[in-house]
Amino acid sequence: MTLLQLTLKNLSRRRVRTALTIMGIGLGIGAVVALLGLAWGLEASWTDAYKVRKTDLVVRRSGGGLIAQPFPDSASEQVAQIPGVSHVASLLTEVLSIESVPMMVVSGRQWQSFLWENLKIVSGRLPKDATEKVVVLGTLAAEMLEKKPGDKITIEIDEFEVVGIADGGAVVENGAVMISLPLLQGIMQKDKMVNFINVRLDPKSRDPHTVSQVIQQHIPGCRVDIADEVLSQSDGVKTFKAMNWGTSIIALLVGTFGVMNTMFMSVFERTREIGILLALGWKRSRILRMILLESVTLCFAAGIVGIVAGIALLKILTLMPWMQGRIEPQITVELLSLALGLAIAVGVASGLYPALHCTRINPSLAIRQV
Amino acid sequence: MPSPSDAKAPLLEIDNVRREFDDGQVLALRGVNLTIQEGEYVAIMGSSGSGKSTLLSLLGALDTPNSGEIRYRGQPLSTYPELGQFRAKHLGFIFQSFLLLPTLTALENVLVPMFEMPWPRPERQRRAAELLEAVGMGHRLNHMPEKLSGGERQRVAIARSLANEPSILLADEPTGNLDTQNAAQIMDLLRSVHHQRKNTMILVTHDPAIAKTADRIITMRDGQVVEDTQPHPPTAIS
Repeated sequence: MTLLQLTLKNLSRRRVRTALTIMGIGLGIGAVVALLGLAWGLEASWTDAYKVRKTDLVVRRSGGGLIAQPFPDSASEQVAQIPGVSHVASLLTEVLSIESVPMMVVSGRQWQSFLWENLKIVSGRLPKDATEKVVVLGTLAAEMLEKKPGDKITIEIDEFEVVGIADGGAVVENGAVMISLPLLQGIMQKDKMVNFINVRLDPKSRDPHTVSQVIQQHIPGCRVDIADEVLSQSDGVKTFKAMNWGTSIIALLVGTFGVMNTMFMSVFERTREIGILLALGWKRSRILRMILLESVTLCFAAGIVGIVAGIALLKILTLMPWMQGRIEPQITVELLSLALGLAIAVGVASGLYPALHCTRINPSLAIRQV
Repeated sequence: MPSPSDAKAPLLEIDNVRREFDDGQVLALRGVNLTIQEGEYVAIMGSSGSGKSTLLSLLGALDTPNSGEIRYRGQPLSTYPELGQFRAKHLGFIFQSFLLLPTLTALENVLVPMFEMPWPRPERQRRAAELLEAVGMGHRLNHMPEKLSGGERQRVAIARSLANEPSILLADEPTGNLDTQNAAQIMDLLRSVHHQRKNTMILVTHDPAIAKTADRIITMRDGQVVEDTQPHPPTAIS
């Protein structure tokens, strides 16, 4: 018989209470998996988009949310002149309600810029020129809007023809409606305004950090991020992540107190048994380990339950219209390890006080308890 | 750390031990002096409230005196940094209400004290099975306590008390919860264990018939030793 076997026997004596406690903390861990999976997914989805575009730097206005505030397109000409910059592409990105889809990314792209290069046409074609009143849909957007080439689509009050369906190689690209920049500027009444400039660097040029500093010096009020870091540096994403962490921590705290309550009930019920173990010569440190092991085992099981629940929740969320085409949840080994690590930490935190209580039990009094 | 034990010193010395409860309102032991030699079979007898169970708790290192000293082979118990270790290595307990762990089988109950011993797992299993066999419970190794009769539970508790090969067995009213037939069998078993293993046996009872089975009877009243007799020749080993 090992300490772990003894622990499992102790946990299995009150099966319903153990199961309910596992469910309670499991839901907390599930919330962590779901919320962090979303937050990390949001970052990864946009980072993937920049990767497939082969964008090295992203210029935008300082501050603002996930969708940056607009600024004059003339800045792109200034950026293009900076040594080390090989290509620039201006972009006006808006999130609009289109027909039955409540929130859809509409991407107004500088005509003939590299932003059109990564689009692989699945059916139909690309626009003939910047003024042709047509749109190209990402594959996911086409599914969500139930459109095919030749169909009409209404953006705000203007009607456009869908001329092509394109695979952009990333969920954000595939979930977007792509249109030439001047057309979207016209729809949104943001003439000559953009909110992002995608920059490609000359491979032989200086490192991206140096170039980004030079751009920032030339265009006051703008910030420049390395493409991989755009989302993590965004105030909107930081707020989103902070809210997710906040919710997760609250869920975990609730779970921690739940497990602590269970462990206290368990050790109070077993005061006499713990007294017997002490009378039989068990070291107080072994009693401490046994109670901690019970609490950690409980939370480890809850961690497994939570991971399954979190993944299930993310799968359900993926089917929601407001998620499609914008966020692909990230279920990574890192996330699952973090969830299990948090579960074990909750186990230690919630078991420590009841375990310390047990080490102070007087065996002589405890064994006389009825 | 305790100093090395003195082989010539008595096994247990109780030196002017006092024990109070409730801030001195209850005086359970009023300066008890006793010496118990290796291999003795001692019965501590007295009515309820005489202090016999308090004395057993102190001898079992489950409690500490307010004043006075208890020495094991010449070493004060107060010098042991971890009394649990002392109990694990030197003492075996047998309780009136058996105090078996209800979620463990008979075999597992006997294995519990062995957690503190440096024996490998197969060795522990073998020892526990042998002990249960020796107390006539070899056929009930995997039975849960709730499936055992009172007599059988006390046999398992006796096997458990012997798990770590203790030098002293402390039995607190070991037949108190048993019928006459089972009580007689348990007393025979304890006597037999004492003869075979040569442990020192200290038995607390309020029953004069049980006390008479011992080599030495210590009678307590109002927290003091009032009589110390030897009705049978001592079985002390040299």
